[in-house]
Amino acid sequence: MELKTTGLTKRFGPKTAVNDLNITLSGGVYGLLGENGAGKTTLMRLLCNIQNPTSGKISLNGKNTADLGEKYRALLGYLPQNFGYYPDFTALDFLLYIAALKGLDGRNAMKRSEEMLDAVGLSGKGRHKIRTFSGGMKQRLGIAQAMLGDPRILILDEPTAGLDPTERVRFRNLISSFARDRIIILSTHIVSDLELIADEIIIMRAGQLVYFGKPAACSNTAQPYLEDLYLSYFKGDMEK
Amino acid sequence: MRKLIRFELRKIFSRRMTQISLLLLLLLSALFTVSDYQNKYAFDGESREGNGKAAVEIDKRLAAEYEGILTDEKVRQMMSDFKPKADLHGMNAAYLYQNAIQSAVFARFSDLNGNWNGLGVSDVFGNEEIKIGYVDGWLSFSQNMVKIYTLLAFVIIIMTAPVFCGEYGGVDTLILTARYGKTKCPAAKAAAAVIASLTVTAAVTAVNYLAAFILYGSAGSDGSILFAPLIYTENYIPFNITCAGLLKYQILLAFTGTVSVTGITLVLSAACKNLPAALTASAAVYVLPAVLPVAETHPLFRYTGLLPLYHAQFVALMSVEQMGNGVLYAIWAVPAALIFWGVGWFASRRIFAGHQVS
Repeated sequence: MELKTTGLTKRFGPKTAVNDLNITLSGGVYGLLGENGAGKTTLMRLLCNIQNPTSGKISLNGKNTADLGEKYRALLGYLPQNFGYYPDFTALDFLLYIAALKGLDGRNAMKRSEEMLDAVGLSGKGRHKIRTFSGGMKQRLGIAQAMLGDPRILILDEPTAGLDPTERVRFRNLISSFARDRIIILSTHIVSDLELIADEIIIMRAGQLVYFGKPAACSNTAQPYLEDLYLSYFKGDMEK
Repeated sequence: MRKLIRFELRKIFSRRMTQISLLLLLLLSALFTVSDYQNKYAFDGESREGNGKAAVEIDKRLAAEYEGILTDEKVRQMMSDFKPKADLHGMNAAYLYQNAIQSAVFARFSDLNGNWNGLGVSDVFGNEEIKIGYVDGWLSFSQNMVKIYTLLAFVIIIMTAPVFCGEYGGVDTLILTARYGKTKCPAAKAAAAVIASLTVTAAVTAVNYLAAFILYGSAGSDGSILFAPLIYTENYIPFNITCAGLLKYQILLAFTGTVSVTGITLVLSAACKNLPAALTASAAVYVLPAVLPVAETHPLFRYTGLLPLYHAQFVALMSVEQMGNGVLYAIWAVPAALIFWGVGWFASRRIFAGHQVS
């Protein structure tokens, strides 16, 4: 399986969010790094076909993903940075709804939903309404819905945001065990998360690709950008 | 698909706004029906008079006394029976109200002083055969239902407006990246919206008709609406149809109105980025015909009359024309509703599937 972007560009008026991006992703975990406004979220949305590129294309095994439509989405799992939910639904109902959207049949949907709740540490909370959940629990529910249906391409935007250290370890283990024969793209500003699980690192700056390669080689090649990146995260934390 | 429709129905009916608006509508329905019933008045011309239940009983008894086809003899008999016994102080006797039968006969056959005006049944109604019956109760109920169905349209808008735009707050990213998010999901949403609207319309209709049956019974359903108290003959439907026939048309138009409003609201729900915009736009489109400079007598009204507001305000649409086979022009509301629904079905799905997350 090969997911490839060719000359991928997305502009919002005068601002170019993603600029002529050419990357090829095959099996493995890809960590996406970049300061705020670097174009990470836009890239993920483009890969998910929920934003149309201004130019360029995304192809899966040589076929344009926009043309693949339902066949492409059947392979996709996505956790957005901020997502909505139905406050009156229980966690299990929410997953069953997502399972129905993903085309899982009744019995399988129930089994897989309960398994995913268990995997993200929400097994005892399946019958609780989402409105009663903390931010971290909602985030875990988001991870569960993204992984529901065993997607071959998993795109996670800031998946560890709001998770406590124990849950981050659980998440890393979950992703590591899930990664085989899949493309997993995750963006995070917690670099230690990526160090442990990412096979390759993608660094973006102002919509452009700065670095794409092994984490070990990253510190030499992309050092100036990494310094800026750390500074921007540090500044962001200070402001918060 | 069935499972997705069930989820969408659950979303629609679990919204607090839907529940509150439905509850308010039912409370208003009860208020309209009870106050209308309590305000009924009748005096039999001799000794009995009363309000509410007593008035309905008097009117029913009088209608039964003259039951059958309206003839010149019956007209003269009624004019004699209900001749004013007191000075009218210059008031036109046509506007005198003692009871439903008296008002019906005076509206057509009385001169200014309450004497027979010399007209025969054929002079007033041509060759139409006019069946006498107790139509007052059901006709006043029908007028109440105009208010209720107009309000129901707003409830339908409140129910339907969030169907698509309610997802734009964040769940859209999850839906649109799921396998069926751009195909079966929008179809299920559109299907659930119309199922919910039809169900609510059926429930509101059933509850109100049950109340009306309890209050007025079924007497007079075969009576002609042309022989009715003055308030139902001035600017009312000018065709000789039975009371039951009129109610059937009204129910049909309630459903066509519901389907039309649902279709319009679905498109606006998919096109608007937030709920207040979808609600405002849908309500504005619904009430738009009321501010259009097209009078009910204007030739263009044949088309503007098919907009959903006039399905609820059914009298104007039913007064357009009686077609050759006895069917009223209002029947065109059915294809009009199907067109509104069809446009809503296709356009809303397309807009939602092409939605760009921002």
